[in-house]
Amino acid sequence: MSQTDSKCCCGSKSCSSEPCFMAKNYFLFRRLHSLSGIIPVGVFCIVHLFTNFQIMIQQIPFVKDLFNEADIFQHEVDFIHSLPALLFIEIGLWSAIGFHALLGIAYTMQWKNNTTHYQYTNNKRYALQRITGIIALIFIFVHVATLRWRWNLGFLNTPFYAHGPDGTPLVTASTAYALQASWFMSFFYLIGALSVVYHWSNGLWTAAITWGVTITPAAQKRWNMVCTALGVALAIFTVGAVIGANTYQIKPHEMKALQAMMAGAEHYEEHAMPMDGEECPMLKDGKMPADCCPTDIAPAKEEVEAATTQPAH
Amino acid sequence: MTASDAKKNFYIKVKRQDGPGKNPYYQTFELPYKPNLNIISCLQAIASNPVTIDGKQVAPVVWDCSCLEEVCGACTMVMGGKVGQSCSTLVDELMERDGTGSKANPITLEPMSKFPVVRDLFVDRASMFNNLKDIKGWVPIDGTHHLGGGPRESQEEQDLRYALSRCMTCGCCLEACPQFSLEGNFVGAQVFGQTLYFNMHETGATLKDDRLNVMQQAGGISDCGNAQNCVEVCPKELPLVEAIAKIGRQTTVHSVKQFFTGKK
Repeated sequence: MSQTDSKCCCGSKSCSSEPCFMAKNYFLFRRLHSLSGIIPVGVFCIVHLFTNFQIMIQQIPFVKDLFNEADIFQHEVDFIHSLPALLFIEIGLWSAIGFHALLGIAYTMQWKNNTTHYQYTNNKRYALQRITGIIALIFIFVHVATLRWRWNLGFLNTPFYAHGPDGTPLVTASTAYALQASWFMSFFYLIGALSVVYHWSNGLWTAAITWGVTITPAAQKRWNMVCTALGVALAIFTVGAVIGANTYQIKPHEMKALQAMMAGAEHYEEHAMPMDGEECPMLKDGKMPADCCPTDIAPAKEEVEAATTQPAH
Repeated sequence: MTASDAKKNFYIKVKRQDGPGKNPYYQTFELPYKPNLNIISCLQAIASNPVTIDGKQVAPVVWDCSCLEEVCGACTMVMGGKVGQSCSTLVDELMERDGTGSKANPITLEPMSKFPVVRDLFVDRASMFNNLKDIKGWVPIDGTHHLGGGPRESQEEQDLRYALSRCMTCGCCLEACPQFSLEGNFVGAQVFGQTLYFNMHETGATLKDDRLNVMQQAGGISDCGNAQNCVEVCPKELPLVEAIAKIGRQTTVHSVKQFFTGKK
């Protein structure tokens, strides 16, 4: 069959428009849609959710003692921030999420819900996959806009800072601040992140059928167990992180540093860790701010405490 | 039918439509109960006395049927909200399943919603047959001369191909599919089952690439959302989910081959 016979990608039977680039490469686009959900977005989410789980882990006394680091969550976020070309990783992730979301929305429009008459488990999962996808998209956008980009969305003014103006570690404190802002925030994060978890683990199950990996119903059942186990583990991480952020007590000096950052920081770029090769700004006393020094030459704890009075730059 | 013997009567609500594009409406009929009645015999009873419960004389209900033994697929309709064949669906089953049949809660009969209505319960299922033409749902032979004995087929393959051959193009899988719609171009499980059926045939496999090219298009295999209603409602119990996964695998492999060989 020649390419001119391609059907329109808009999904309509009656559409007679000339097949566009997407219509001609429809299968490729749909496979990339599947792949973009599993690899870049999904794998990132696993790392992200596991990192968040440390908020709770580091508060459990006997577990905490197993690790050298007092603030494991801070350590992990600092590591992520230290990754080279972080901006490109972010752009890559956003491209993947944007692509997955755009095709996903178009695909969801074709959904004719019939769960009232056909109440089969997989039909409900199909419906839930679409609902959680939409929730996840809204959640991810609001989450990144408020924490990462530090947009002030009214009552959702919960910017995230890795360090205070004087280098005070703020990762755990600003996460706790965001989730303790109101009961709605914890609820929003719980529903949003659990939607992401469901969407990913159920998507992993359907992807195996789509790609033709699990053929027989028996194989699909076995793979379903694996996906369920993954989903449950991620759900535990999620709930743990929300609990951890709610039980964490923000210390006075952390709150002070956080407020200083929020008061003086309209644009987060000024306070973000400098990119490779970028110069560290010198403070008035000739020292470098702790948040832009490599860890091994970071100022000692006493120096940081002495510099607590340093105003926000 | 006697009005005094109300216990032995039951009620059927039929969705009616006078022609393509006309507005649908409902009419309720009262029928005498007999054990083991099927829906077709209800429709025959209505045809012999087309009077609604309001006492209005109406045109008999139109429906499509042929074999009356669940082999042709022509009498497929939506009964009590679920799709099936009206020849093999019993009134007793519906009453028990849905608790319907009373005057307040009658058994509903509706045409399939994913096909254009011709009249009343009679729909045009041509789209399914057109899709079979698109995928070249046949075994090509180049003449009438003797081709010799067919290739040997393993028992396992025979079992799967026999199961797939039972498809009667009734449309149940499409009616129950949340991805398939009247106006959309998704082809649905029926086509995937038959694509696999002909791709598995030794001679039919010569057209495998053509079929997989159709599967790659918009509305093809990649539009399946894995709701798996098709396999639940299929009256002939075709292994449709297995067929979908296998066509998914074949199309994936086909695309990779195309990518590296440049073959269309």
